[in-house]
Amino acid sequence: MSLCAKNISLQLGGNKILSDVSINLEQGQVTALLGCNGAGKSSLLKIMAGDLHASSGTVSLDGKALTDYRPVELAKRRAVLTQKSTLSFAFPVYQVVEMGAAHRALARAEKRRLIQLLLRLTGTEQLTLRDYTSLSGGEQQRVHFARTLAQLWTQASDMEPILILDEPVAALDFAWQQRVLEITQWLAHKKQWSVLVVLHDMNQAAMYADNIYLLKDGSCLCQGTPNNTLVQEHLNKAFGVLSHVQQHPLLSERPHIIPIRADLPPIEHYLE
Amino acid sequence: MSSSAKSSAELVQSFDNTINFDAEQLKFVMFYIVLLLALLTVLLLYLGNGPIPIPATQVISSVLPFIPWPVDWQASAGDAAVIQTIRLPRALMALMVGAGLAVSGAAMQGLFRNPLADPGLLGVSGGAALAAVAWIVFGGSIAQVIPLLQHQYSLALFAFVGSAVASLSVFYIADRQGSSVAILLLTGIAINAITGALTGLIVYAADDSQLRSFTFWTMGSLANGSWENLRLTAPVILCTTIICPFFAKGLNALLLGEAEAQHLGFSPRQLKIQIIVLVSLSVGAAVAFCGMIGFVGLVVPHLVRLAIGPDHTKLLPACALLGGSLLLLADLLARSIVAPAELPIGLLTASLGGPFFLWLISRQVGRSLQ
Repeated sequence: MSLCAKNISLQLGGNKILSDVSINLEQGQVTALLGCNGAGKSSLLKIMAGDLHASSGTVSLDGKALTDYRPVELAKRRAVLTQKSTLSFAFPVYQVVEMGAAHRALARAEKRRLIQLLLRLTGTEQLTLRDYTSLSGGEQQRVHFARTLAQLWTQASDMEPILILDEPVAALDFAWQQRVLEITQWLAHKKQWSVLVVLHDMNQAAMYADNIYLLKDGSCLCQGTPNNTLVQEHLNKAFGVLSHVQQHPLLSERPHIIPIRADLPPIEHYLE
Repeated sequence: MSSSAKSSAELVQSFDNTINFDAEQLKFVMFYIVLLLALLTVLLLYLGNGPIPIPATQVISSVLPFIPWPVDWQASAGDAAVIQTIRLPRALMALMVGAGLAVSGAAMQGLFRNPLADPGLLGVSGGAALAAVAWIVFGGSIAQVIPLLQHQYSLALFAFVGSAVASLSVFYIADRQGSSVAILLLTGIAINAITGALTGLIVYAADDSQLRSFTFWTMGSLANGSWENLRLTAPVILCTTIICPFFAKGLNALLLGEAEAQHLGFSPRQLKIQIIVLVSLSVGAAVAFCGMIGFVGLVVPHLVRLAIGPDHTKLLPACALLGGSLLLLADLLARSIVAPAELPIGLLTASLGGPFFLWLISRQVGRSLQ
């Protein structure tokens, strides 16, 4: 059940952003939203998070419309990592992470342990007392990842936590791209969280997603496992990229995508 | 493989040095103690200074007469009366107004996610000024029609109603356009321009003595600090100042962005209404009795943030303490610099706060360039 959107359409100022998209989060799975710039990924994610209201269609959580939940109830169930936060005040890093636990009834010692654990997990422990605004973009993103996890981490509840991540690795270095996605996958597979994530790297989606929705011009091009969705034909159609797809050399159940070139005229063509 | 072995060794090592939360906590406690001591010191100075200087020991014994103090601490009946009926209520008014303005300023800066915001952005002072000048110029004729309005509190009442109407109209107009804080800001600027123009129009029609009393009103004064006026302002400002910190976590979350605040379980719209109502009440009550006192709401939150960071749970109470002490100090100066006359306190806060603010800005520019 968990979080599902049915027949979502969205129109913003006369532009059709989404048309008739349905999406289902499965417990214990990482669901990835893929698509080119402007395909409607972020809008769909915002609708799933309750930030945007669809022009038509419904989003429901456990069978109840998302709009019928109070913000506090939702906060205890699902956490959202947005692409860009506006924080411009000089909070020390640990206080930013602490904000994630604003609605949790934790004893002070427990809260401290939680913050410390998440700072370690995201490799930001040595930044604990640093001024947030002085961090690099990647460090800031990791701090927000920690904050997002602090909202749900080991929450005592019968219902599985729902994690929504909008391009969580966009600003991260090679190592932390892997690590953040590893943590995300671990939460889904080992802790039975439901995860929705927007990604740009096909191979990251191939490695870490269980279920993929490929968006194209505001509608769903295809949906399924990485092996079924990440095929040459779909990649060409969705992105206009010619690519070669093979079996992953080490993980036989996952595909491995080798991009060849963008399916566009040669660069010289634009010079004339 | 070797690199991963090394990083896991580092990880184990970092597990040993735990974050010292207690040291952080101690920092905040120390800051609060310093603020309290500063407040008490300024209060003692304030109560002892004036046309009749009174020693600190006698000040203490007259403020707390029910404690059996040593005989040489006792003040004469006259001195005790000066403190109890004149200086103490004015001091309390300064503390209230300073605390109210500073906390409101901090709350507005949180709401607008901008350290340069102040309560004036909501049209609170603009609306109050318009209503005040309207009363000063037309009050006489209005009171002839409605004799009930011929009252010593009429100006205060008018100013309060003006500030409430202005801030509520800012909110309602902005709220209909969507909940964005940016629109609230733009609406506030527009309403301020309108009240400013209307104020100018009335000032144009005013005669010299009306103009003079309005000018003095805009420069602020704590001369209205009597027990009688305190009975009206203190409950309003005290309540709002105490309630404001309960929204501190929401304000913190709002700094992350409106969507983010919602994700964290706060309702940005509700929070906005609550903060606007609190700020309008608090600043409205302050402006009504003391006129316009600038810069307290802008500078005090900055100072506190420099010392203990922007966390509103600690910021708001500290702003109340520091705002109160600073306005008290300013009034002490206002009363003593040109004694026996007194300077309008708004002049003093602006002339001291302005240069300080410039310094602060240049410092921030320097930091962001690094």
